[in-house]
Amino acid sequence: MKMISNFKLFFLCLALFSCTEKGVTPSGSSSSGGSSNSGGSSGGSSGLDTTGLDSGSPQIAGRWLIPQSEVLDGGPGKDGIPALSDPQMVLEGDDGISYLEDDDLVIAIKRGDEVHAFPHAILDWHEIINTSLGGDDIAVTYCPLTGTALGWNRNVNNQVTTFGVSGLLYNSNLIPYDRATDSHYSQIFNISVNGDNIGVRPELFPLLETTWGILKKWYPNALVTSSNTGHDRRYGGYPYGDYKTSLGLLFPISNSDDRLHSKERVLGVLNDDGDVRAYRSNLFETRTIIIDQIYRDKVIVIGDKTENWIASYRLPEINSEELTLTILNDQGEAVMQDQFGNRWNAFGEAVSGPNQGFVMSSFTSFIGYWFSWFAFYPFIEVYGE
Amino acid sequence: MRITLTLLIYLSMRVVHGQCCSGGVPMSGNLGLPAADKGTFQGSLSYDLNNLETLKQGGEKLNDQSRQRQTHSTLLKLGYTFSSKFSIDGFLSYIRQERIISNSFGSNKTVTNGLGDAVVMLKYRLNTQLTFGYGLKIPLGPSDLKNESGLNLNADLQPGSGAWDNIIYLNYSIQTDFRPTLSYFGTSIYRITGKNREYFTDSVYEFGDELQLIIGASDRLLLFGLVVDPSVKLRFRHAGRDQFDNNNFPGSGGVFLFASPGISWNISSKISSQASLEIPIYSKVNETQLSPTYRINLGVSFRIEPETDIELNF
Repeated sequence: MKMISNFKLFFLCLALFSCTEKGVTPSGSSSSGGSSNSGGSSGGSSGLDTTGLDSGSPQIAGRWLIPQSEVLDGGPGKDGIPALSDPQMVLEGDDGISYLEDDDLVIAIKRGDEVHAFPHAILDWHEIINTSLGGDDIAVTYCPLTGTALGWNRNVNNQVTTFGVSGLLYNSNLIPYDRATDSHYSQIFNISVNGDNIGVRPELFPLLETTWGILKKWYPNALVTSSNTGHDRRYGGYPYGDYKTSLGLLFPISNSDDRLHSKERVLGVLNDDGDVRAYRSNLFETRTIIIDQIYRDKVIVIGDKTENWIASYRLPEINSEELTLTILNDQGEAVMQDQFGNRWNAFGEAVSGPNQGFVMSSFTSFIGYWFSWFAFYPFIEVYGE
Repeated sequence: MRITLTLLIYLSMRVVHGQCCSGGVPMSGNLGLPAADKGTFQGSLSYDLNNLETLKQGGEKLNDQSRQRQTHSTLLKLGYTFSSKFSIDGFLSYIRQERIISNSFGSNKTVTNGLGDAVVMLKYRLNTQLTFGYGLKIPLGPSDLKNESGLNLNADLQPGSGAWDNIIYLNYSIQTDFRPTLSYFGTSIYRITGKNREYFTDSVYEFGDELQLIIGASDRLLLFGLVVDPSVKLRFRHAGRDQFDNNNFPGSGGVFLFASPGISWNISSKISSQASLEIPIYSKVNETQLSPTYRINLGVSFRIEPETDIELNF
């Protein structure tokens, strides 16, 4: 009797586990990107040599995981572009925000009910903002030359640090360094490429790029970086001339491809196996959801070109059922709805419904200029082509 | 367009200071050795410090003292006068470039040293007032130095430019009748830059073309028994944008106006010494970049005329 009871208990537990949601996490859990601390995969990338890292073998002093001959001094020098730490964040209407227009791009991060926005107009001059939000220590890194923004956990290798701008570039992309160990990182590869932390991948926090007008419409209490940064700069002016629209680059890159304009902003999605696909904004002339399969992985890509945002998430399951999503328009922050009645925002959070509070997990994905995605991932595919 | 801009007026009986090449190496304006008689061999050795720590965005000065660039140059000029019409000047330099970033985390300094580019210039003296010259800047200096970690440094920190340039100038001076020791001069130098086709191995970098216009006056005084030649100059400089792979490089180029008082004094009949200071009066740069704060030049000149020996009399 006891044995039969134990078997029943065993199968009951088995049944319970099979009913848990897949691809979503309860609110309060980390909703970091797919590459987080898993080490990820460098398959399909170009120039990243991680030989010997997994075995724990001691590293050659001065080793670089990227070709050292292709690491360049960009000109300003170490900390010549001053990163910000804990900048003043203000509400719409406060002092220090006159530099910002509604159609200016911002990089937003949401932790719980708090939303912070970091404008391109500030990041063009500082490239890194070290901050804290919702109990997390975060570095928002942005490279104006590649148009790429990644949010890093500043707790790296069990040590909270701040990141600075090294002044070095690889494939025209920002190489931050951490001040705790002076290790260098490739921003787009999301890995330390030199120093004591070599091989360590900062945990990613998902970011959303959109316009300030859209973000404050969704989140009226969002805080945005004030122009009172402690540095004398003319925020609102762009420091790189006609770079954003010209075909030309300022530094050499390893690989190039002219299928798209070099400066076309695309959303790249990198799965855990290193397969990568680009999604162009012209796919989202109106608010659109694409359910795609990148080899073994199903991915949601949702965007709205008129509102200037695109985001992607792993297609989740709830009650062992893959979500079927439909677009929502004019519903405030909610941009899509599933078959269970959950409404989801652009951060992949269920804001209402039976699974309110759940968060979709994501692959490594960010918007960047086409040339930068191809330079780092020359095997990148373009969706629909 | 480039050729039509080359015909301008220059002459100076004194060394005129200019700016050229990477990081403000004073080359194109330092080409003019004084006119001399046939068979005269002359030269000078000078030290030039160009200090840039004024951060500007367009025409606005930013309140930011975190960045500093200094170019220390040792300049050797030699010249020989073949005839009453033709002379040749040569110019060699040794360059030390420094970049210093200072902030709350400390100070970071990057230094390069090396031979700079050289210039050879042939001059034709049209008359006692007018001289025309054509020069070639020869890329002797290294343009691929790396920092102490073995990483490639950008063009601005290299002692050399890796490119051949053409330099054209005209030179005019006139002495006043009411005071024969007082002379006025005007200088124009146009530098047509070449391309460094081995920048970062296989990219192309080209510094912007440069136009300089200089006007000034000099006199001669007897001061406490010492013959001294004070001078004052105004120098206008227009630097075109640099190009990387034929694309405009932001944060390069601009227009500048400088004032430069100077003085030279005879140590002996054949040797003189000179000093000058240059300060900016106006500047407007493209995008945001460091611009000159001050420049100092100190030097010694000598002249060996036919059938006379150099007289050392310190």
